[in-house]
Amino acid sequence: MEPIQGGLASSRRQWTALLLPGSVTLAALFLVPLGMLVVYSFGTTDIVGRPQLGLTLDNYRLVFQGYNASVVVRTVEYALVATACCLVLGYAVAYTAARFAGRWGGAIVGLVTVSWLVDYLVRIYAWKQLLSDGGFVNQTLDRLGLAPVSLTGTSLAVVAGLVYGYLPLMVLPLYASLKDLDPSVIDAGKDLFGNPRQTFLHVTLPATRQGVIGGCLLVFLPVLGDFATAQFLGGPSNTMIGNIISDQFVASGSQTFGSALAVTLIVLLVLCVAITAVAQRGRGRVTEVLP
Amino acid sequence: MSPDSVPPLLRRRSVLSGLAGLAGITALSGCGDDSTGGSPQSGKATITPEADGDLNWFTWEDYVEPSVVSDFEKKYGVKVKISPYDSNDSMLQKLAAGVPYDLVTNNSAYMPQSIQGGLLMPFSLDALDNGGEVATYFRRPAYDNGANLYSVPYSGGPTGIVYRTDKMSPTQSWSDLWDNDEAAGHVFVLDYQPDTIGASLLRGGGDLNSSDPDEVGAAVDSLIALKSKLGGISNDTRTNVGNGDAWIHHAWVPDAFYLMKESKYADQLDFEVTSEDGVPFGMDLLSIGANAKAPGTAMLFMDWILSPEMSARNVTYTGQLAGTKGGDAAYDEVMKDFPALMVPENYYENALWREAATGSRKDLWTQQWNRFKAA
Repeated sequence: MEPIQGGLASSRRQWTALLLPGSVTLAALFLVPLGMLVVYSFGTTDIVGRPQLGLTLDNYRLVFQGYNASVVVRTVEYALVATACCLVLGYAVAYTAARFAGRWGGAIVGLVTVSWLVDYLVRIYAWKQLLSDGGFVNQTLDRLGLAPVSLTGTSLAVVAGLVYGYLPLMVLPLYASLKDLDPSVIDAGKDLFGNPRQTFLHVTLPATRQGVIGGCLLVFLPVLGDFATAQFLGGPSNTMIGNIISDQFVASGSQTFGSALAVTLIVLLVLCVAITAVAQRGRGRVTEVLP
Repeated sequence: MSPDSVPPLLRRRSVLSGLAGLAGITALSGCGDDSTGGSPQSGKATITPEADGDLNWFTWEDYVEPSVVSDFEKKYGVKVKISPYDSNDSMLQKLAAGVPYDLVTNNSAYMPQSIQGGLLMPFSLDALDNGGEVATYFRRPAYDNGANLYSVPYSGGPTGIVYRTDKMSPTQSWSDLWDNDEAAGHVFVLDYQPDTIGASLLRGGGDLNSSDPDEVGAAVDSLIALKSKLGGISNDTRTNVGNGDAWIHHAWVPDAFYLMKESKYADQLDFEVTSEDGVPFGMDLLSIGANAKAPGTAMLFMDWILSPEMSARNVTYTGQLAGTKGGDAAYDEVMKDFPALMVPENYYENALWREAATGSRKDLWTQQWNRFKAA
């Protein structure tokens, strides 16, 4: 090994070498397609739907039609409710795993994520089979002499599907931040005569704020772009913006308009993240958490 | 690591600007890619039917009688790989991207674009032993009537309504989707704008292929009004009807035919043709991809499918017309058990064909369709 004084230049070369493979992969698989999306959004299509270069704003003009706004509002509502549900459920799971499960904590988190071994579409399709009018749940209700209920085709079914699909993304960062939390901080809260509720609200929750924010962003952002859940579990009035975007690419041959919709959504998402980041600046220090 | 310790090459701004440039170049090259040709093929149609490799067939899922494929493989010693697609538009898109499919199940309403976009190879019916089997209409059909021929008929039928006989009495009108209040929540329409907006247009006395913004807008208003009764907008007819969710389903014949034969509700299902308002029709066709690697095998396979025996096997399997003499004779036999699907003489000549949607009509329909989906 080179001595530490071996030269800044050599250390820089090492950093460059280490960063290069990841940067190239990211550029090729993420930034280039993103760039193409932006370019396409100002283009037109030829007779077979191939995007052609252009500098038109027509696609963006169509994006800002009233009916698109209503889908965006519905999508944001679903995403907010799903994120809130994931936070409540995920916090309970992560808290149990990190604080009370001892060496089984990792296994509990593993169980939460194991469903990801099966493709998301397949799992949602399975839910559709279970919840449909003639499906397993209703057949069971029927056998028990209970009236059948329509479980699919509602906002509730879509939100439930989203919570099911994205819960692991909430549990993982929460578990990490709860695992890092020094238990003596909670004991200190109790020593200061905090009841369990007060201790949780004034000590545990603020101290795991980074995990909460990370988990919420990890759930909220992909849910905004989801389309499979609404497609399979939703009804005709539960369309999300992801469905409309997906339609433009696979069913309408309108890639340029789909690109403009996607770019607009990405800009909205970036704004969300930026606002969160600004709101977070300078917060989250232990000195602030502990009064 | 402080920003100063980062080598200049990797400073954020320079990396980002470099990548933006790269993205731009790639996007430009993507846009300029014209490997499939930008103009109609004008070369001579000289493909000979002979096995020149395994066949890659781009088609709908479960859209051929399995023994038709396996017997072909046995006879000619080639493999047939079926690459499924799930919508005509995704078919067109992949074909336009230059993916080298040998054989493509195209559709009559997508044929003019495919030919004009240079996505297909021309061929001659005379080169096929069974070329004489092709029904007269398909020798020079409206959608493929240039100097060269790019397609042979494969399978086609009307779009109609599959319904539970215990839940609905048919009136041969598209209004059956709208007017059955007791079936609210169990009515499904297809997630396919040409057929769904088309059904609403026909119901209102309009033109199936309308390009009038007011007429199309009014048809979509009617569809939005229907939404409160809809259980879904879906092409998964087999699942929706098969699991009991759908009682009245806007449907294509192969799905209805399958359900009427195989599903647990088979005895309670029938298919309705909306002859009061108009019956939309389209034909799926076989074509050879412009970038085909085994065009000879594709020709052989088309010849194979056109033969009376294979045509008849497919008709019995899909419940659709074949556009061949042998296949359509078999169709008349099969449909004796399904009278709703029987067709009159000269059906192809008099049918209400879905036409290609391009240019401003495509934009109009797409935006109106988005309005319906978003509502």
